[in-house]
Amino acid sequence: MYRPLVSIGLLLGLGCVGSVNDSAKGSPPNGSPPPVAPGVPLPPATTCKADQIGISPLRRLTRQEYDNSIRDLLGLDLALSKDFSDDERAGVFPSNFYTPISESQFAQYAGAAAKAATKAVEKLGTLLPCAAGVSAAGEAACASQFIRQFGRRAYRRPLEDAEVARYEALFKAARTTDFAGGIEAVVQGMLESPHFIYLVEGPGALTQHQLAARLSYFLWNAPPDAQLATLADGGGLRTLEALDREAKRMLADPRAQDMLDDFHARWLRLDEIDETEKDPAVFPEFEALRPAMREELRRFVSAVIADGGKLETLLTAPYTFANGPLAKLYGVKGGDAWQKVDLDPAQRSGILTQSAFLAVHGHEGSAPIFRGMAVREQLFCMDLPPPPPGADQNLPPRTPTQTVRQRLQQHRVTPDCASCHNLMDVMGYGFEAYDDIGRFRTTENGVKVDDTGEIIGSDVDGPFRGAGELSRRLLKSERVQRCLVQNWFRYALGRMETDLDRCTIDSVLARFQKANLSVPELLLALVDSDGFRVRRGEEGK
Amino acid sequence: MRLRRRSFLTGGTAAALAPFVPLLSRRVEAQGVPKRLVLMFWSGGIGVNQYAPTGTETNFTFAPIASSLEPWKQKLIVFGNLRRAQDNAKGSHQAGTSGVWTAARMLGAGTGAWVSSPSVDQVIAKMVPQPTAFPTLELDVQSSDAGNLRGNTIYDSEGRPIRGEQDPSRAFDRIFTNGISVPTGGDPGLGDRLRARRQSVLDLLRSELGALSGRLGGQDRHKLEQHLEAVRTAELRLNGPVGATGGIPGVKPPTIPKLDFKANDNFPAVTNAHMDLLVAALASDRCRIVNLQCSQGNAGIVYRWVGVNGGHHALTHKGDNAAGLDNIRKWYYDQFAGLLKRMDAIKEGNGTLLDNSLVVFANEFVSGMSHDTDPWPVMLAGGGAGRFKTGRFINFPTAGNGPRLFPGDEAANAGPSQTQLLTSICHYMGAMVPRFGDPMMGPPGPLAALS
Repeated sequence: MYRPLVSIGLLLGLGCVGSVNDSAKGSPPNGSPPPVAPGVPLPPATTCKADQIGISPLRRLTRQEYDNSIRDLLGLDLALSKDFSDDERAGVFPSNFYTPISESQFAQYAGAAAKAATKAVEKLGTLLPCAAGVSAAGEAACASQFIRQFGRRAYRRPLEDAEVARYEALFKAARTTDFAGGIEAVVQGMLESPHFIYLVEGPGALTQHQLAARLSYFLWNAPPDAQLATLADGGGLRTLEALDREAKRMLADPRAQDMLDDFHARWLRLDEIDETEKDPAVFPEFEALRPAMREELRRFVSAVIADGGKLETLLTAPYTFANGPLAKLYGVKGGDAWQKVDLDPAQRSGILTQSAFLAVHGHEGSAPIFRGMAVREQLFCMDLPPPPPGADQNLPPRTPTQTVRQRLQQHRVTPDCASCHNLMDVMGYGFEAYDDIGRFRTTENGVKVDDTGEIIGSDVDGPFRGAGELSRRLLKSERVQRCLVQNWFRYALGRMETDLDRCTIDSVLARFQKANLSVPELLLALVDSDGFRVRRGEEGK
Repeated sequence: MRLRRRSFLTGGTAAALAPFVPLLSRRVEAQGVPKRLVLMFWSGGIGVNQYAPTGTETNFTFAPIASSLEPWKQKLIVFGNLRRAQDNAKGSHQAGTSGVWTAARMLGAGTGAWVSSPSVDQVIAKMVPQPTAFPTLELDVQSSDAGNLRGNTIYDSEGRPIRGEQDPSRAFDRIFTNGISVPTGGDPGLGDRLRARRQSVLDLLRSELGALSGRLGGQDRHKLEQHLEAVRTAELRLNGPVGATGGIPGVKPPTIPKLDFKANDNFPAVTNAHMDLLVAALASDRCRIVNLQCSQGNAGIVYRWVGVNGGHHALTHKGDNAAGLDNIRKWYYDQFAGLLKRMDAIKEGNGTLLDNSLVVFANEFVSGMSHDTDPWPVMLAGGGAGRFKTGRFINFPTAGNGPRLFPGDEAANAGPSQTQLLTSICHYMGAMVPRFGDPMMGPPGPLAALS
């Protein structure tokens, strides 16, 4: 037996230059963020001091947010962003907060705006109520009315008079052959406007409209609806009670279900199921299972939230959802239709023992490494370095009667490998009772499965047996709880947390813990947090 | 200012503004030929054993998987044992990809600079103003990881990545129609009307971006200023010449199919369409500096069309000689040969477009298994109108399989090196830099073997 290593510090000393990824990653690489400029008013923070808020960079809509915004604006599901460049990421979540757009990205926006505008004016009567039978004299007034109304939604705030005037000028210039042509140019301009493409905030404190946009792009990945917009117009988001009330309403909306599904798929990288490959000779059933595994997650997350949304349920629920092929994988009775199925608690425990997690991270011949790494990175928020260049990554050839676990022993005896692999493989061994696509097993290659493992370098160190015990242990780890808060922070704010955000993270974590680790409560705590409601920008730099 | 720019390009007042008119620059160069540079990037390592051809400097033979390059030998310079340091501060995939054209140190993906110095194409375009519609052109085949160093090879003068265009048909519109495509035989006034409307939209965007960037600060303002720059460039293009008007007479814009350019199985079609585009862009003098990035080292492209069923990255970690990797490598050598063939088919002066250009073909790793960048797998084609003597296999004596080269003294003093080859390329293009890349990453000066 190996001796447990007790601290990250010791591990680092042995050569695993990982980092506890709870800050700094998103801070500008060139020096620390500037202090808040004098004279920039901040609304009162409730818990954190004004300088305990991280800098919010200007960010562009993600592809999903862009498509949802067009959908809500025009009532057209055009999915135009499929041709866009990939999104940047905050951790594992899409967010475009790093780089300026390139010339080719500008062309992508231009092309998409032109397509959307052409589609939009095809039904001019729906787009603008004043269009029917409008006289030549009435055109300008109708266009102005449209500019204000459509602009309010595209910009997510009322337009300033100077902005209205710009669009009126655009309309006039583009109204050459027909009325629709002028309107088309207006729509095109608005969809290419920085006020549409970016989540513009500042200068200074968040306005009610900017707060409303933060809220809706967090909880829905979409722009504010009419109710939220009206609330923002009337200054109705001024109190925490009002904000909470609105957030609760929004969480009950189907758009929030999409968001919750999206978060969990990305958090555990289960969205990678689409690109996951299995040897068809070994797992002929996998292709058919792939979409079912994704759907299972969606249904499970939805049920967990409906069930009170406890982290405990997420990590230990003895049930899941299955269609015919999945029921077969789980070894339970079930018809072809989707249904809730109870699982043997001795075999399954929550999301980490479900098919998507086990299959995505169940790389052939190295599943314990990748499953352990996923837990380490996504649940403990610890970055692991790639193998050092020159490291001999050739494991000894696998003999026909060997388990993967036996083969990976090399990682434990080579000190260069062990310093990092002890953090991954040894935890990953807890998943040895599942094959590469997540089927429960008691033997591998005729050898009895050994699913004992050990957590090291954490606040819940110690040996354990099986993924169920691992999951229950993770639940007790404050580091795991904090890591979940960090991940939600990234999702909500679209940026990495920095040292400056510690106060916000602490306050959300405290409320999450107080609420028996209820995820919906975590989301409300985030919305209420100073980091969410208070903006600190780069003005005056 | 805007109006003046427009008139520059439409040529209406060309005589009055003669010294600034791009057309004139072309005429001045009529005695010679334009200096052109193509960078082609591929990934995943070439495998340590297959790296070098065998033979002498002037009499050498390619390994069987690179046999498609045999006919092009006399137009190639193949390097063996050219050193390349790697800065693994942010990971070795990151080092491989982001360092390939920059020889930079890595600062990390963020709102500021990602790398310590820009890529070679951008250095040249900044130092030597290009008289073409596009100072540089970035084309990309299905690379991912936009927000990560490992997904980006091209970096601007501030060390930020520039993403290439992935969609060949959108690239076509940008290069050859100025973004305004009008069906032939339709309403004759339509093109002008669309252009006028586009101009009005651009005017509006300029006002909006200007107003907003004035209100924000720091990186936010920088983002908006860059956005504004894209608007200005689009405006110049909109009113510039359309189609394959300049350059070598008789060149026609290529026919580019509409493709699902993100679909794995369209990878070959996209690669080929991009090659058609870049060759036509060079030949018609729309651009003289082009970069083609084919995916990146950590990508899971499945090369089914050459009988490979697993994702590329996973395969590279089964060993440098894992079954299927050679099929992939051969495919890339074939593509490179295809690019050379296209360029060589276009006659220019006494030679061909290929003879009068410099094409650089490089992988980010020698070994995809160990992520080692040293020695650097790179070759040149074309020779730049006789500037570089081709038909050579320059095999440096320095052992490339020795200790890894990391930033620092050893790398800075290492033998014939990436930094020197990139310096030589800068010099050829007229950018007389004393050294290229980060001083920690390799020695100064040009590559002596090329002088």
